[in-house]
Amino acid sequence: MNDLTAVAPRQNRFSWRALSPWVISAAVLLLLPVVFADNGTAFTLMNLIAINIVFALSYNMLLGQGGMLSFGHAVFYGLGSYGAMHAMNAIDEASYVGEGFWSHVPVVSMPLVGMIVGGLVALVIGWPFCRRAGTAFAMITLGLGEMVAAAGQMFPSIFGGEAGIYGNRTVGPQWFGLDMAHATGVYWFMAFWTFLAVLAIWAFTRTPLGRMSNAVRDNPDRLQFIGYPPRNIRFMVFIASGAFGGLAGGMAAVNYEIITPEALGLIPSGTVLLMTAVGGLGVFYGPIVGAVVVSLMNSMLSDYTDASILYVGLIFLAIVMFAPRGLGGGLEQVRVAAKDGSLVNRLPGWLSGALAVILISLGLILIIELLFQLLHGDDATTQFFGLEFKAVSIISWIWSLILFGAGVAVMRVTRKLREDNA
Amino acid sequence: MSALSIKNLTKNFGLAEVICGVDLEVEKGEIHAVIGPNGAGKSTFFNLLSGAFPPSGGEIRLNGESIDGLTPEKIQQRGLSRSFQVSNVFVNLSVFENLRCACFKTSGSGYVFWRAASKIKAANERAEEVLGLIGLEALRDVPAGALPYASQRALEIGMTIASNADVVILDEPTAGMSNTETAQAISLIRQVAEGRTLMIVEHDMGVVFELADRISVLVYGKIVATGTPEEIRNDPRVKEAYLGEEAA
Amino acid sequence: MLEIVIFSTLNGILYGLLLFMLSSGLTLIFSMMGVLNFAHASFYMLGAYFAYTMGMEIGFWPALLLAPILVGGLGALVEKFGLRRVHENGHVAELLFTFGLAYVIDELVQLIWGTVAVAYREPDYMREPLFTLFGTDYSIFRGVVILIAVLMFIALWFLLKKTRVGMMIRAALTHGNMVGHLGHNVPRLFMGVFGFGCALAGLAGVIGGPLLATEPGMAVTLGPIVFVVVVVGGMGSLIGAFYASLLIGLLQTFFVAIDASIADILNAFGMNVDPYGEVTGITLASLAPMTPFILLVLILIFRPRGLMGELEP
Repeated sequence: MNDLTAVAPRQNRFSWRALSPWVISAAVLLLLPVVFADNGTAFTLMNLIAINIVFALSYNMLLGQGGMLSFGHAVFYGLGSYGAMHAMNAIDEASYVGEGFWSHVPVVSMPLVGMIVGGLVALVIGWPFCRRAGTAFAMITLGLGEMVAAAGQMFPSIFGGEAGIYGNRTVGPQWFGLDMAHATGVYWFMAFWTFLAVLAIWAFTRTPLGRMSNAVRDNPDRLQFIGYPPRNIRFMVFIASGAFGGLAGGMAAVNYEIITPEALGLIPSGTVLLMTAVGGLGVFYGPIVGAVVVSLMNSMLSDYTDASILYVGLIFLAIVMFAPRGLGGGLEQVRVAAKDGSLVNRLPGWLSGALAVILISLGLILIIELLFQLLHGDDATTQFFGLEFKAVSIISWIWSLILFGAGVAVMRVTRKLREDNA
Repeated sequence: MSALSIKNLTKNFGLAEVICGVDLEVEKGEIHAVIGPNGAGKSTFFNLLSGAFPPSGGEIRLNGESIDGLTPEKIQQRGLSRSFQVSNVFVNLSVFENLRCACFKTSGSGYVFWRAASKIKAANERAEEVLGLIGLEALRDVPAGALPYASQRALEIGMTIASNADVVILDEPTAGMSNTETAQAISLIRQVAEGRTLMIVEHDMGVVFELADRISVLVYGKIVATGTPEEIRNDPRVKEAYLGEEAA
Repeated sequence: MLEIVIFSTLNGILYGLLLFMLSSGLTLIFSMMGVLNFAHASFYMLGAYFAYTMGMEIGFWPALLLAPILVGGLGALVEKFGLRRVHENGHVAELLFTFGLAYVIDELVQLIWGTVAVAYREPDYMREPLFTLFGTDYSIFRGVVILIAVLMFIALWFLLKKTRVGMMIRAALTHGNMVGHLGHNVPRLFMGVFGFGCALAGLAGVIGGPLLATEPGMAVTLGPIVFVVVVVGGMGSLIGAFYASLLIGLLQTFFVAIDASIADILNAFGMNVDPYGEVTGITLASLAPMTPFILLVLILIFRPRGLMGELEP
């Protein structure tokens, strides 16, 4: 059994219990602006996270649900964003003149525009791609992504060259009294679309097509023998995934008010892969967890260290190698254990494992930071919990080795705990 | 007309002639077993019938309609369904989900994305039915990959009959089973066979002689004998093919 | 005109040979182990940077020898402690691992050597012209690159055709599983092949660095092109990779040299097209970066198994 992939949840009949994650999420969305009331940075970050949540979930429709690894998902995001940007500019012009189709379209509907663009692009280009999954598909999407990214530098009226295209989100009819001028107004826009998108993607997994996408991931050969060509299923999932990727792009267009050809390329395609894998492919909310964690790390870590991107990459590698279920998969394990009562037995093993991981990570981080001190010849020091570590002092190095060693030791010693209670 | 009419079927892989001119008529409603020594081409034969490979020559007719060269999906639509020797299930889906997926084709709902799967009445009811038939109700939410072997084989058969095909071909359904499991499988296969035409490949002679109405013997890509179990048991060519292997 | 053709051909072959050095290692690894090494171009980059750093101490030729060995050794370690562990989780997991590896290597290079290109240059005496045609010099270094590339192919050919290891590799190229069943020490073979493939990439980096600029983005620029070569050539086919490398190398180089726009071409055929229009004003030169990917899409539509591949990828 491939550890990376999903276990389908049982489809209950309607129960109030099943609604609870949605109610809780809605409540969280309503409370967040209160908690962070005057914190502009927080709102910027939350809006970024919202976009990434939708982006990562759309990506997982392909990867975790459908078994198709794509290196070009940013194409849908980017083109959806461009579409929304052009629409916003059309709204701007039409409103200024005061007439025309676009003067009636509110900016809050831009994610829909993005969704349509993303879905159309997937529809038009997707058919030849969906013949095979696996490595072939990954390579094709890589080539596609690069091609579109290169094209993005070429047609200035569509893509705006290197500088990109910018827009204004405060124009046009303002629905729900949202003037979109401040980050707080944008937040409600984001919260709405995020909730809606997550709901829609979740609903998709419960439909026959959603189920069949899981089937095509697990065993494409058998699919033929129950009457469906794998290629057709893959194609439809590809379109759905592209549509939601475009939706995220539409959200981004409104949020950033600028879109450049970089958004089409390997970097965002790689980032969404990172977020999804870190969060966990096998659980529906895995990508949500991954989007939150990676966005936070990318934004906040760079204040403390030069190597923030490196750490994200190392975490990704560690998860692929040691914890392929990802963070979300781990959470799900805890949740399932809590439900069937085995949590008490397993907790010691898991907690000690977590402790070991923390120790190992601290040791590694310390080593990396010390190395960078050496490299850049700074007089800078690394600060850990108020303690200072200098590369010149051998004690710092010893500390890092101690931490690392302790972590490994804890891991080894408590292994039996985990195995016995698995 | 026969359920399956096979005339001069051949299949070459490069220079290797695996199936060398098979003629066979499978009557409607019968249980027809195909036996033969290892390497005779039984799996290839089933692959040809179900559309996994196209034949190199000859023709196959299902209920009078020609199906040689058609894709597996089309053949399945026309009412021929197969099971696999090595369990070919959707390992991460639950038992019930596996069955339900196999039921989507009949209700035409495989591509539906605007309704919940649990609301497709026809598929759900049929899946429940088959679940009961194969006796796996207790395991309905277990991921198929985690099933014990015999249950996986039962699921395999369940998925094959879910689509209400009228011709079902089973590829070594009791492979690897213990005696008790085999007995249960035999009873399941008998139930499945009611109202259907069944072809099975088997190595277990006990199963073959208990179930089959007629038996065909495939040796080196050709059918050397077809007849009732009694006729086959006494056929000298069959004995020769098995080189002294005495059937029970 | 002739000048353009001759130099474009020479440079195109040069570039194509470089691409082949990279794609041959990738093909070997893929055929042997079924894993597409996303980090392959990153090892290329490491080769360039190692040679740069070492070259400053010990000179070009020793660096030429040592850097690939270092890169190969690193590759072997990666295989042993990283890839092997992920192998049992399937191809997707392997691809993710090599992707993460590429990510981390790219970041490390940036952190260690900085984000700006480093001045990795060929030794001064190699900048002298090998020959001069139409007033343009063709440096000795380029000649040396071609020589090294050709020597590498001969060595590769010799290795594959004439040695026992080569025989195993050739067997694995078409029947990877069987080789294991025949009792060879597959883990050791895997480690060796992966290391060797990375060493080839490193060697390409040592000579490609001065040619194509040594900067942290070089892996991201060249990597996808190498994948295109492998797919176009037919995954698993060394000869296919060779032809595809030359094809792409020549195409891209020629396109860069041709300043004609689409309008110019259409007008040459008698049509009357606006030479400054957005689409029609696109020059072949600006299309050049896209050529490998256009080729990829065409091949995937019309001949998915590539030029010489046997199986579809």
